[in-house]
Amino acid sequence: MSLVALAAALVATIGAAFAVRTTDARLAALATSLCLLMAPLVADPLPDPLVLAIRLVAAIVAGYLLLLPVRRAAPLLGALRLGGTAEAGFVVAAFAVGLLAGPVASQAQGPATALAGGFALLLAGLDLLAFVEDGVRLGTGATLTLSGAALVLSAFAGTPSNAFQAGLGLLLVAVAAAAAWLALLAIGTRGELRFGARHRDLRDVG
Amino acid sequence: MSLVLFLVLALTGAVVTLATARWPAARGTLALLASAACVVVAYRLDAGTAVHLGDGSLVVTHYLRLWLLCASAAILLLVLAGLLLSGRERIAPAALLTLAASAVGLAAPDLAAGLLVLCGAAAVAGLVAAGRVAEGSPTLRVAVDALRVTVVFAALGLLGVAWAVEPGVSLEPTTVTVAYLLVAAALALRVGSVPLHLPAARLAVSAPRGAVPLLLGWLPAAAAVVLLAWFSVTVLPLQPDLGWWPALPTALALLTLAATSIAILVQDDLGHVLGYMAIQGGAFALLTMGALDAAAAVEARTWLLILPLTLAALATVVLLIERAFGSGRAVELRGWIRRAPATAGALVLALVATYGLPGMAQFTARQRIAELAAGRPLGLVGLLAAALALLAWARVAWIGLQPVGAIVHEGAGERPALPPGPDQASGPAGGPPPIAPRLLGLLARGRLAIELNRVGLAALVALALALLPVALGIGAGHLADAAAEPIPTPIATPSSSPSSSPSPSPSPSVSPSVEPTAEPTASSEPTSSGSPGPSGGPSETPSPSSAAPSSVAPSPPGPSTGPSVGP
Repeated sequence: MSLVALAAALVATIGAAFAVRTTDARLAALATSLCLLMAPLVADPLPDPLVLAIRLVAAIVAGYLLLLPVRRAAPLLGALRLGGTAEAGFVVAAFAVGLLAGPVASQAQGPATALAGGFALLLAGLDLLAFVEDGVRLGTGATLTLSGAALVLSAFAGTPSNAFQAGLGLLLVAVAAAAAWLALLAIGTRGELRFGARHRDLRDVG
Repeated sequence: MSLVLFLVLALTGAVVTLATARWPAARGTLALLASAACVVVAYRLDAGTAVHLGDGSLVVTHYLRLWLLCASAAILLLVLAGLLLSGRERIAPAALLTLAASAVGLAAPDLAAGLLVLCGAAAVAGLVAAGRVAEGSPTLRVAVDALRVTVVFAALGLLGVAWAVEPGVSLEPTTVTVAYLLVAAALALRVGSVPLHLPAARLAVSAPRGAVPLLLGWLPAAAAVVLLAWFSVTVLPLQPDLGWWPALPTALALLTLAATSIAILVQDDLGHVLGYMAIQGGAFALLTMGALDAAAAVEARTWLLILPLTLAALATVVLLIERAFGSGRAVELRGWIRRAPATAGALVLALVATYGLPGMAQFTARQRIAELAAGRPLGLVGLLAAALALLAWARVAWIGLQPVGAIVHEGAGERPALPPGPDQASGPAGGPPPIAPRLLGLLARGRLAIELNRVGLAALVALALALLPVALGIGAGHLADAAAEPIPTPIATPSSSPSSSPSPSPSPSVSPSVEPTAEPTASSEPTSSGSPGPSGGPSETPSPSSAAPSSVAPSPPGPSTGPSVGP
């Protein structure tokens, strides 16, 4: 087991747990950026330096984009459904499950740490994606979900190709930009980061 | 011409039209120019070539060329219709971004990377749905849900592909089943199959009409083509025994065909109807997953190119009716056909292109997919259930043939109108006027003539849009042959270790793949274009994907095996 991969997976998991637990949008964005920085290092062998650079830039840009709306609205966010601590606990538990399941996964060609980190990021991301009502944590959830899914892929298929890594970097930036734009629209119309109530009837919208 | 040129044009066009949002006239002109240039470059693309970018490559196939040509033409006409009807251009950045993403997504042999690029474009293009957020927060929620769908789709797709990344590798049945179900779920979510249809249905209502073909047509169809390509080259060759699991996507797809027809029948709003038409068309991609047959995958590639074209035509017709008469509710459109016969003609052509007539490619594709997935009687029932939606359109037509109602009477019809005659200006000595004023006068009259005939001209654009899928269906472009050509692979091939440098010899990085053909035959092709060159910049070379003999590939189900030959 590569120590670099293990350390990176641990840091990414802690970052994901923190992003789930915190109610400060700035900290959530920073924790997400940290996760995205660590995710490409959870590989054995490590990707090419060029790929690492691409993912590094993508992580920084995505974090910056998620921070943009926070400058225009109060950074405090609502609590998650089960409470941040409980859900952060689930994220850490997902890491442990992945670490245990990695060696016994018959198709796995990558490190077990990738499966562990992937499970943790995936759980944190899906949790945020499903339950949050604000743009910053929507972006956090979206990018963590995608990074987690990519880590699971690398756990089964080995270190992904450079084209895949470049595509993932583009996707992370695109998703963060979309979430930031939606958050800015929410601030423009409602004055806060939350999106507002869900309307079931859209007949008069268009 | 090179695919790189196409990408540069599309991306530059997207950026420039986004940057000129405050100058509608300039933006409209630039959008027209960029999409027209994309049409020209797509027409001149050389199929069978590959562009090398670093250690990756983009392979131009006949199918890709046809896809880009049709998409560029449809976007050009959509932009033109939007400009004629509203004087403003709202979809160009998203549309041109969609073009670029489609070019990369469908040309990348690394299908997982292609999927990611398409999802990135979908995430950004989905923001178009939030464009009218000033009217209230519902559109914002719709855009948020669209982003959620895109992300979950990408994650499900990656998780599914992760279990079976390389063609030709034997897998345990459980592994194949899990991968199959994950990808089927991703596909169901992306095309909006029942019961996951609400985000797509809401998107169709809240997005600008011109954006509906992008968000529910071109982007989901391209993603479905990529996922079905994965399905064709990894799962099908294994001839997996998936038990009763394939019945699940089949049942969902059949349910979608029936439920969308009912929704279309009870809906009065044409925007809703348009959304459900898109969802219904996407159900055939899910049916393909249930078919477990290479022939169905080929037919799906045919259908998935025609579907967005028909949606573009229908969206233009709906936009025309809404703009011309100020209402999109069928009950308020009494007599609309009397005022807009060309629009009615475009609607008829669009419906013919959607459902097809015997002998047309779309008719054959839908029929074969349904029959291969659900068997002859049940597949036929599914097709008939889908065709029930035609009753709703027949009602719209019946209302349109009634005497003209008040709302339609006040609206703008297609009747040609001529601008008033030119001023009889004369020159200084009573002779002919100077050339410059005459030209300016002619120009002003031309602009006035366009102003007076916006609806009629837009109807002609709608007719042209509707003719595209009809032409494809009757054999133009050899779509069926293009759909049957080999799919570039490998899929998400793990990169070699850092110590192993790229080899200059062409053989080591060539991977075997299995391709579906028009007949259920098997072929194995070296599909990545040789080993990457030492240079990092783009280079263009003929792709060996249509040339080299087969070597190492498992056999997919089918009566015969052998190398397939692209068109």
